[in-house]
Amino acid sequence: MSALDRRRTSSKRRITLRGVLVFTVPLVALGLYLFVASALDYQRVQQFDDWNARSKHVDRFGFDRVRALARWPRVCELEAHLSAEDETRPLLRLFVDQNHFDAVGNDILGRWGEEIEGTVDEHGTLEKVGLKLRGDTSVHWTTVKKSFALRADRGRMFKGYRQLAFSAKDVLPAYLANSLPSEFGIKCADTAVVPVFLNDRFYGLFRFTETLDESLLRRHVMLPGNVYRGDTAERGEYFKHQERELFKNLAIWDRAAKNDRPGSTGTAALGEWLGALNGSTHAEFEEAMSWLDRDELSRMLALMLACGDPFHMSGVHNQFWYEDPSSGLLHQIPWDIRLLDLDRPPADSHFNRALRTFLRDPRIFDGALAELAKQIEGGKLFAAAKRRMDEIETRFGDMLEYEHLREGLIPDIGTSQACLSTIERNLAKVKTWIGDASVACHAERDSNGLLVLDLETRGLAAAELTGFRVGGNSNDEWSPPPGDGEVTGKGVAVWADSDLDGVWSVGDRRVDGIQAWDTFVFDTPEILYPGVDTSRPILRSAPIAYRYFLVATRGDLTPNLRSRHTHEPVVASAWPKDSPIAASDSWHPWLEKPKPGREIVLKGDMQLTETLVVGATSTLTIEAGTHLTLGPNVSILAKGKVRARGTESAPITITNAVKQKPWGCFAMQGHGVDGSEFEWMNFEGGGGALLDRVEYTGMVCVHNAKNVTFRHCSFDSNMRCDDMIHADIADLNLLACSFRNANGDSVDYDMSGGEIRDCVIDRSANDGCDFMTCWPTVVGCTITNSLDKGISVGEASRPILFGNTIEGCNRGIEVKDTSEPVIAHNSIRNCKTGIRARLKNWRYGYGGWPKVVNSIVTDAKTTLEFDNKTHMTVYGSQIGNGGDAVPAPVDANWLFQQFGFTAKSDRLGPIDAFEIGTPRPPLVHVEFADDFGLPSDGWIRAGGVRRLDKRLEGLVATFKREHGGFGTTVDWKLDDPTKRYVLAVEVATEDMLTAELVIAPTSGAEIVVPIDTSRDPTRFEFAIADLPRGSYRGLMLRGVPNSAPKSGSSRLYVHRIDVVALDAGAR
Amino acid sequence: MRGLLGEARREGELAGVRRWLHAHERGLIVAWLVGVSACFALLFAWGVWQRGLESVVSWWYARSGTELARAERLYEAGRFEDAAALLERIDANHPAVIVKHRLDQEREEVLTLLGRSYVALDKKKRALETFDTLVAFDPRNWRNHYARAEALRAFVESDLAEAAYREVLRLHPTHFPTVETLTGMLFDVATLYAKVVELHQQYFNAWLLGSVELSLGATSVGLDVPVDGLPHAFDVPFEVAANFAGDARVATHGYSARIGELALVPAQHVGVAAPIVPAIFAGPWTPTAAKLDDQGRFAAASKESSFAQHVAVPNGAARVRIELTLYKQMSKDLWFKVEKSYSNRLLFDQLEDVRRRTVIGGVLEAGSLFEE
Repeated sequence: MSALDRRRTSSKRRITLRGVLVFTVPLVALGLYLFVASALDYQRVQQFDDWNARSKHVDRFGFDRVRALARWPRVCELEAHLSAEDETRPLLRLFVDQNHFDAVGNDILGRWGEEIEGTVDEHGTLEKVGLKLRGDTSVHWTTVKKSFALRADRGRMFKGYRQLAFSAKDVLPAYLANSLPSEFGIKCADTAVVPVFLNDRFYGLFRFTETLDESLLRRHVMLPGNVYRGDTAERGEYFKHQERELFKNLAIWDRAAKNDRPGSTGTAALGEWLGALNGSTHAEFEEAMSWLDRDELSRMLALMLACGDPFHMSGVHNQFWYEDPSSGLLHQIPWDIRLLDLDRPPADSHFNRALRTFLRDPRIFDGALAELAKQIEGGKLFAAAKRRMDEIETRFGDMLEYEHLREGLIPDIGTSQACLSTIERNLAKVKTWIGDASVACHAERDSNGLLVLDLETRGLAAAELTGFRVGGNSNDEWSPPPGDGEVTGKGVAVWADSDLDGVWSVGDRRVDGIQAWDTFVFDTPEILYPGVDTSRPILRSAPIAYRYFLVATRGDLTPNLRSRHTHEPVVASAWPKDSPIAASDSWHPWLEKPKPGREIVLKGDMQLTETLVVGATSTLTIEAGTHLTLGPNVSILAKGKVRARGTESAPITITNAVKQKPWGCFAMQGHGVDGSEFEWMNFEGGGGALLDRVEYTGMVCVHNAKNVTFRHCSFDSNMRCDDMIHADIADLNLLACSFRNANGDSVDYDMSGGEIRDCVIDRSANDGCDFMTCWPTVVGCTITNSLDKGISVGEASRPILFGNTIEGCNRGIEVKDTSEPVIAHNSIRNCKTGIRARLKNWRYGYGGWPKVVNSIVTDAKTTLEFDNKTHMTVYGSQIGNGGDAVPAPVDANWLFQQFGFTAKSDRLGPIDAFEIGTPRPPLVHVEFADDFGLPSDGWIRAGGVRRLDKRLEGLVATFKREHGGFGTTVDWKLDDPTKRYVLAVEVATEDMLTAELVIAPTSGAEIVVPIDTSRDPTRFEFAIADLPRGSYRGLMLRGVPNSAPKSGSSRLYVHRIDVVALDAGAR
Repeated sequence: MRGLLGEARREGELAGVRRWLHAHERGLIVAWLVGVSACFALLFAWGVWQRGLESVVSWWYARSGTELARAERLYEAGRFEDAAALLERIDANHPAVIVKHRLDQEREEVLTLLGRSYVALDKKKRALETFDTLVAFDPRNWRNHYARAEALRAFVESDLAEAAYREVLRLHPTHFPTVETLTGMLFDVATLYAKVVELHQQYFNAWLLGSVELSLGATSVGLDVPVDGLPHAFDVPFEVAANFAGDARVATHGYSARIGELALVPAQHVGVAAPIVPAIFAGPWTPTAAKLDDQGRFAAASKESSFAQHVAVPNGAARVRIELTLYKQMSKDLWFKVEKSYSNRLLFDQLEDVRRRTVIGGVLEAGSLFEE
């Protein structure tokens, strides 16, 4: 046998049936597993028939599994390095019963909506939460990475939210698209990219979104009101056998947040709006648009175009409309915007009915282009997008790689490069629209010399007609159109065919301008808006025609045109004579006629028997000595400026005509009212009113206006309504006014500011002053005999209360719900409770935090009443009847300056030596929010500091049983010779032996400020350091903990840091 | 001996098998490899490429539909016991346990038919439990509430039936059969005229948008008209060629209507400053599937209701103007009860207002052009 034959024989012997079986059976098993698993995956997804299920096929499932197998080594390598204890980046560390979680996840239909108990690691302690799987379509729950919602335990919040949603779908694109509204000045739900660890194993990167409810409104400084929700796209959400189009069917809306005040009417108000929105006439269209802010609509459209998605807030879902109770206006809240290519919209995309209606007003699209032009200039928007994506890449690069390796097995997460490319392409597309101002033109002179100029806009951008070039100077005489009262004229004159009847007629609008030789220049350029065709998903221009009539012209005429947004000249193309002028679906801009204002004057003795409305372009003047009596429920509603200047000897009075029946309200609404003034005016007997869908809860109300001032006015005995004077989102000044016998609160501010100075407030049935999310300055007031509080400071308010006297009230000052008022140089005496701090509204998660500076709180049954979850900072004040130990006043100008105060604090309580000027904010101001940002905002711990994280109190360092510290680098250059510099740090300690604040200059010795460790941890102090001029590089706090801490842990708290520049001479 | 013989025999057999395997090893290897390859190729070609596996899944989900069709036939034939038994089985095994499943509507049909079978068999408790399950399955489906309400009424549970009918109206405020039935129930209790008036006002004022088509020849435009008995003016772009002569047609799809004057507005022309004189057509409209009443209004008799008028426009048109009034469905019987209730409440002014805005006529399916 040859060697070859021997080799053949030997190799044949090696290939045995057993060997083949051993080799192939695992492969066969693998193959069968792939088939069966893919088929089962497919079957599981096909339980649903949404867009996700329709996109899936068996082969894809198989391929994804094979690919996952190939990538498995790298996945394991990455996973080994992902730690739930990573302190350098934010994360959610969630613990659940894995079996329960898997059981629910694997039987999503049978156990839909089942809550799973869990805990989250919150700053080292485990807090209970409820978890539910969620999502509108199957993409959220048919893979290994499932979207979920967390609900904090009753009475608690997590990261400031009671409910949090975590979505697994399109994490990066959805995060980018839904975080960009703020760049357009549009309020939207908070969103963040958050890594989630489930039972200490990396579960995935999710997009966190806050729930849309009343808490969102408060968090974004919006008055609690109705949020109408139309979200009926998917099974379980939509209403079968009904009209599905939201804007055609009121019955399928509900409310995500409710205004339960008596004046609210549920969804009925929305029904009114939908009726107008679906109207057929221009008047109905204007009525519908009067509920909206057109500028805001333009910005919203600009946002959607930048993201390439004007479709997903559609006619069947993602519609959230906030009804502002202070104005009755509706504001759309953006929701679930996708990041798409503007040039390649998804199949079946279309604009929703409401958006198509809005776009019938060509100014809406024009406004959107203007907004986009601003965003494109200097690359502003793209830079903002890039910042966000860069931050994600920097923070979560390894996690992103891990997620991409799981492609196909989990919902697509997107890439930052793709996101930015999409934005870039969309902005490039929009830029072409902005420059696309094209116009066609024809000029025709008739036998009488009247020149008819027809122009038609044909691009997507508006053009401006600035005037004409005419063939020579003309001083010809002309007569106006028949019926026009105008006298004859000379020289070129121009009319716009504003009544759209095609002929020169009395209803046309004269366009003013100046003739200079062969050029006629308009005083104000005429804007030629194009319409927009919304019948297809890619926007196209829809022409609008404009006709002008010119007299006394000679020769040829050339219109001077320029692009509205770029100001580039536009050369009009020829428009053949006799061409039919296409009818437009857009509302011609000339249909809206300006409403002429009028001047209304009230004087002498007058009785009003019906409500007087002052339009936004009108003014109201009330002369000194006027005595107005108003019939029952009769109001004055001013949308234009009011001047009511009485005098001390001839005041103006408003009273009720029928003693037992209140008049309504003196209401001021909108920015037309800005700058209104009232002097020496007496109000009595008003009872509030419901006007134009808005509930006015005070005898006098100021809504959405700035710089409205009442001087030397008196308010007495309001009836029925809560407040004597009420401000909603306003800037209202009350100077030397008096308030007596209020039915509820004398002064009530909601989300407002202004100055309340030298007022006397007596015998309020509820509060003297009631502030909700406010920032007023209350100075030198005397508040007495309030049946509830002298001053109520609630819901995240930050006023300064300076030099006031509060006596004889049930509670002097009550501070609630994360409010942080500065209570400086006040005297609170003879009240049942001096200062109370508490949590009243659970949505805020935490109680009040007053800063009591140079004040006196004495002669109270209970001087201080502080609930759990509250803090106080005391600085140089007398709290209680201190006996001999009355603290000395402290120099707190570093604190007062940001409110505009400069004071010579020579004693506690009210002082005379102070001035109020322009507020000067600190050079450096740092506060810490417990959020999904960096866990310690870049501060670094060292030595015995075991943990460093942001909590409700601020930045909190938890110590082991050894000394340690934490700090951050700074770059402060404090070198102005006219200034002196003060560093103030609001701090507290818990079970610490020693603690100190250390400031490190760039050169020279450290500055060390000791911190008092003897206080209760809820009693903060200001650690103050005068900083010599120079440069500083570091800020640190360090300390030695107690060896046996009573509370279990030693901590150092930093709530806030300010570096203030004071004038060098001021002390 | 026997054991020895048995063992020897088995050993012999095994040896024989081993020899056979060894002799045919190569063939077996080839057969195995070819067989496995062929199986996988077949699985791939049919299962994946031809989407065979997907068809199997679709077939799997379609099974319950076939059985439901059989149950429907049994019900139609009056075999309620058999229908109920089959439906109980289908329901027990149905994959749609919650409304998010693709077969949710099928499950609702199963439950509805099962409930009706129980009603036919006078099994009250089971019927009501089934309808409770139906409503809980999808509380946003007004038909589920309606089915429950009908069952409650059949079992003379008037208070519960009234509440269930009101649930229907909460979701579908203009559902005429519910309005009719509920009005009848309230009217029968003579002291409840106030509730009849309230119910009628709710129906009458419920916002409803009807779709109407206006066509001239091959060109048509859709108009959305509030169904509130009030005239609404429309002025929309509408191109008509010069010298058009033919029928202008208004299709109201089952809504009773009044049609005002039709005006066809010719286009302006570039460079021509001449008054625009619309062509106005105020003549009578010829109804199809509708009847004219003595106040010039048309009562629709079916979904095919439409109205035509011959027009001639030598100058063509660029816009059309028309005034339309649509009326909600009303029956003679219901109107009698409504009228009487308003009168008994002495609400004569209000009655006059609703009378002006009501036409006896209209059809239930009016305007139901939307897609499920």
